[in-house]
Amino acid sequence: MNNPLLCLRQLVLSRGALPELTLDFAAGVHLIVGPNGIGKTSLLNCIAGTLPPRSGTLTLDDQPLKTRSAAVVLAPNMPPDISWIRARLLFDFVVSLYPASRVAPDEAESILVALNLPPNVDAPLGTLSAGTARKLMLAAALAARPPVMLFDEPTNEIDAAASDAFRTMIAAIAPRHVVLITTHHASDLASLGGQVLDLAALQPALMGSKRGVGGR
Amino acid sequence: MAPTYHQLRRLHFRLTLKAWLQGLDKALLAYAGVLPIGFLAVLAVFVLVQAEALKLLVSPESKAAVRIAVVAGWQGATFVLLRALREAVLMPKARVFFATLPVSPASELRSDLLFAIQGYSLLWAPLAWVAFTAQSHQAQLTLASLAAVSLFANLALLRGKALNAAIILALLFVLSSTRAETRQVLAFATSRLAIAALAAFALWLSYLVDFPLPRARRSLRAGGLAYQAALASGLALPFLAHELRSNVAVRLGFIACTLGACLLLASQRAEGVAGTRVLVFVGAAAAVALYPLPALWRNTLLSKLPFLAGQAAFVQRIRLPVYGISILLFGAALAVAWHFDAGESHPATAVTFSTMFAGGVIAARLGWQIASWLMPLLNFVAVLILGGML
Repeated sequence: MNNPLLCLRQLVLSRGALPELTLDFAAGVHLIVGPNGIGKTSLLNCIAGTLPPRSGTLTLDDQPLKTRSAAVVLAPNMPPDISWIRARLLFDFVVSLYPASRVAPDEAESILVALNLPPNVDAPLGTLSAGTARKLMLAAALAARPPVMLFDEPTNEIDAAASDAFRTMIAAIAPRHVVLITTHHASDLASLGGQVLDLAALQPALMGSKRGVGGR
Repeated sequence: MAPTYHQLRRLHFRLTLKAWLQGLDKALLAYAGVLPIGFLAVLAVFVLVQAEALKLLVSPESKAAVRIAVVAGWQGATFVLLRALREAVLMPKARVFFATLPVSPASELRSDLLFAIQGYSLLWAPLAWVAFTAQSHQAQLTLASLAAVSLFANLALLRGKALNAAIILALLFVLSSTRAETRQVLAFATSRLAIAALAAFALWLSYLVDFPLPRARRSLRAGGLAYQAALASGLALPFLAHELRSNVAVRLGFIACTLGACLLLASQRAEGVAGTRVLVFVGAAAAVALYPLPALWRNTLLSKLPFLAGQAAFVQRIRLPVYGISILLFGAALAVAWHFDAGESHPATAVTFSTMFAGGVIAARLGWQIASWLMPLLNFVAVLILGGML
């Protein structure tokens, strides 16, 4: 896995207010910012394959992304609405879907420790606080570690120590992964040195495609 | 003007029922249009069978075991009906939110009772019929107290108030095991009213006080066989055990009730007369009850884990348990029916219903709304033809 390149070509989302997108994302951190409702989450969902685009293509290293679903992980902005499931079972299940890229079990444990999750892994998801549930989804994505990693407002609701740990882990893996992070607080993640894609700046370009910021 | 709590509940009741009945109303219209006599016959049999059973309850000659069986049957039927309508009647998904608002327990109880009463719908017909024809105050009091206490038990059960439900069910048992004494009318009436009042009080308490019961801690041991099975099934197995447990129980209960009714009818026939074609009725019930299960199960998984819906590995993993277990359940229903059928049904019966089940599964998977009314209609017609009723 060397310097993956994610390309969006003439992509039109089925939700949100974005125009046609033509963007390249190379390895590294990309912060996606913009006002509520513009389509940040829809963009991540589209790349993750959960929201089919109206038109356009997505490729990873020149291969259609839909044929490589195990190359993308999404840490959603809300934990799933499954109150009974044990945190450990959900974590293990998400990670198990990425056999080619997931980290070794001891490293997965160290991710849980870094986010201070071990006291909660045997509890049902419905009993966890919003922040703890959010940290669990971040940990699963970090342990799955495919070439493309999508984080939807990852630092919302989590404590300062976990936020620091998240930034440290992302900084370590970013050179070999395409990491897209949506956020309303770009300054919190400025230390990652990522490129900032302001979706609001794309909005006036309703006629035709626009070349966005990319890693290349 | 701001809506009241009851108005919100009424709106929720109507909209939920409307969504729930989508398709079913078309099926009923189709029955009525294509087979008016058959539709009326089904309705009449439904009401008459229940009315006959309730007559046994008020008859002074009935033994305690018979009365208890009738009450148990009524309780089972009403519980299954209210369980199926739980979202419309009790609005459980929004309860957590409404619990944070200053809504009085009396408002909550009033709404729960009113919508449960409306939820019974056709079940009131046999009860009213027997009460009207009985011409006896004791019989009417017996029926009224049964309906009320049974309703209270259902509400307590569906709201997860196990202790209150146990008390009310015990009172229901007492109610069903005591016979009307013609010479002691006053004592009889007082005892019925007292039991109903006690049951109402137990239900009312469930709205005021929580009596938490110790829950058994059930946890999948990481690395254990069940844990590995849960992972390998794409979480389909734990979803079946938690999210779809009641849904599947109602579907299997419907099949079991059909089988039970067939066996009951067969047992009442005189020797030498052909029995009921169990395979025909149970095959149709199984096809109609189980064809939506794979699509429902799959959609529940994908909608509860939306961030994984694009994962090919996830979709592949859930395929085998979702379709395999549904087919196994259908096959098991047919096998049991085959056993009791004793070769009375046409050899093509099993193939016919299996084909319809497979067609229904595919239609539901493709999201064809037409299946929701076409499947019951086709199976109804198949029952009439294969059951030798046409």
